[in-house]
Amino acid sequence: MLKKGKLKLPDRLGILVPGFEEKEEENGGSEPVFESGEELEIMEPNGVELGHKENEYEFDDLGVNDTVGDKVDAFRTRKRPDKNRSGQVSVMDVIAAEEKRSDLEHEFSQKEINLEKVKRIANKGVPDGGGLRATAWKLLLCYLSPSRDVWEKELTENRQKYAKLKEELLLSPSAYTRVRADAMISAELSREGDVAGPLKRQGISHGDHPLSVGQASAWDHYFKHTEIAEQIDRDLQRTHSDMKFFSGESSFSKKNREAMRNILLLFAKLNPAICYVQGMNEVLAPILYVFSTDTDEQNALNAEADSFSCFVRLLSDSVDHFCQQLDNSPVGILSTLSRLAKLLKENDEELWKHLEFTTQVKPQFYAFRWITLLLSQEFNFPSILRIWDSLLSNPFGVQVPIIQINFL
Amino acid sequence: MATVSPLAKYKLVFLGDQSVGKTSIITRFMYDKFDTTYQATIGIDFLSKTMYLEDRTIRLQLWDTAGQERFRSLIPSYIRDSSVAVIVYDVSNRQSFLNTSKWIEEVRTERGGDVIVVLVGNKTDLVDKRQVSIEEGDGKAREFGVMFIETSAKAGFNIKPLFRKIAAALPGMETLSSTKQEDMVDVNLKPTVNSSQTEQQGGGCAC
Repeated sequence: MLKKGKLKLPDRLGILVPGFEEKEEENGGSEPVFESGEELEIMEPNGVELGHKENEYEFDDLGVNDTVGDKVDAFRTRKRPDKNRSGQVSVMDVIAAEEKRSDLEHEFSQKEINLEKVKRIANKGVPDGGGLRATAWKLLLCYLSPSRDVWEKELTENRQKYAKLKEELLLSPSAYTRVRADAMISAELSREGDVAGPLKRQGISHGDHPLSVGQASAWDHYFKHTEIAEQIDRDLQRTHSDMKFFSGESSFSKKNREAMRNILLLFAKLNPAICYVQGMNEVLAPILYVFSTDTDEQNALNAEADSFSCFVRLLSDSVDHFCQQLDNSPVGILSTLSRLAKLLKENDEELWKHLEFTTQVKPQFYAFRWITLLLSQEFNFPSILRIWDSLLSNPFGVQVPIIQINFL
Repeated sequence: MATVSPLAKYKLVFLGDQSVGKTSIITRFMYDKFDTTYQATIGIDFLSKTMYLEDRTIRLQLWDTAGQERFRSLIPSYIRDSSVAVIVYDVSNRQSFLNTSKWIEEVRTERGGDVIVVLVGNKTDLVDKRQVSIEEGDGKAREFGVMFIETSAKAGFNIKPLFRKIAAALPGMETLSSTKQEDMVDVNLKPTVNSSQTEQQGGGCAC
């Protein structure tokens, strides 16, 4: 989508996403002229500060120049950029945010939601607070259908499905057997009215006990998954460990980590060829955060189930990058990296030559993480949410803008 | 003096299981700080640092790798180019110690004897959780014929000695290493190592 030969350096992230140039005109009248990069929302005009309750972040502005600096810094020290810079709030920003908010609220209240319109608005950043982002992301990931009427039914079904999956795949074999037995017993009790005779013993097949080493043993599978769970836990300990939402000993953060663990474990179980790959935790974190901080109580309560489905949908676009067997295939990470190198050569041959020949820094050394993690380790948290608004509203999927954003 | 010679450059690759402290060791060496908010390393990261030794200056290029199996397909190329492989385990995680054999063998397969290998037992500050004794670590290092040291990136313990040890063993440093051998603070084998987790005050090295 990039114009060959000459890269137009965008002054706002939203412009990076192709296909939405017309938005400029449409909103041109009300759109104030910002300093470069002052696109992000920085305050909640309605005073709704849901996202901030458990979070020490100030939602500051994301200056493009600043982020480049941050990126370099983050790269050097592998730490998150400083998020304590206080952003300057201009009246124009507030008005623009307010307009976007009412536009989105209006759109979400329609019986049939115009997804294209949601994409156009979200591409420029969804205002924080009020659960707008949660709804927008669910729509953009096609987890919610554009017909509002079916939302409740679909959500209920999906959440029940998730609960069932969890029960079948995440409980230890004995716990699962117990749950099933309890269900059977209570069914029998209700049939017979009272307990007559001894309790029935569960039939355990010959090879199916914890000491069985057979490959088919349910316990063998279970232990493999304990190993994966340990890997996941080690990474969850260091997922946004500067945020109260994810880190610390509070029951709140424990619950959130538990949810992430369940989701990642379930994904690993359902996708044995990929399993759990380090970094998936980073991709999941923004989704769970956004859904858990939805102002709608039911949505917030069901954030885990919704996050699972949306995480799977988001990864479907880039899951091949996580798969080692596909590394050398046309859909694998190495091929994406060489596409990036090719784009770089077309747009900035000098830089490309410098990296390729002078310093011999291959794209897998600097862009592997950017691409596999959808930039989620490169910026501070509020900025990640803002960038994802644009990524998710891209009509060609999240990968296309990722490669282009890397030119920043 | 002041003979202008090009800065000798060496590549060091850090290998080892997930969450053993590879990034923390590098960060302690680079910036002399420790932070609990490091994220997992995804793919590969690299940093470089100039080390000012008594009679020469060298440039170290540090390659930090991800611990997980999945990322290894990206690793061989830079094991191949490295002068030094630093293989890290967590003294409070036995499995990570057992897995160092795999890492050492991988490096040997790739480079034969043409590489300096250092086995590093990190996290000695976790005294109560230790699962691998210093003798075991030393024994394994002898068995494989590699160097050995225990460190704590968190406490800042033995990090500078680790890099001084490496620097002294680098090719072209033979004279330096033989004359400096007795000056080296060979803290790694002292039995008191567990009880002295205090911050190491840098020795004679100006790094």
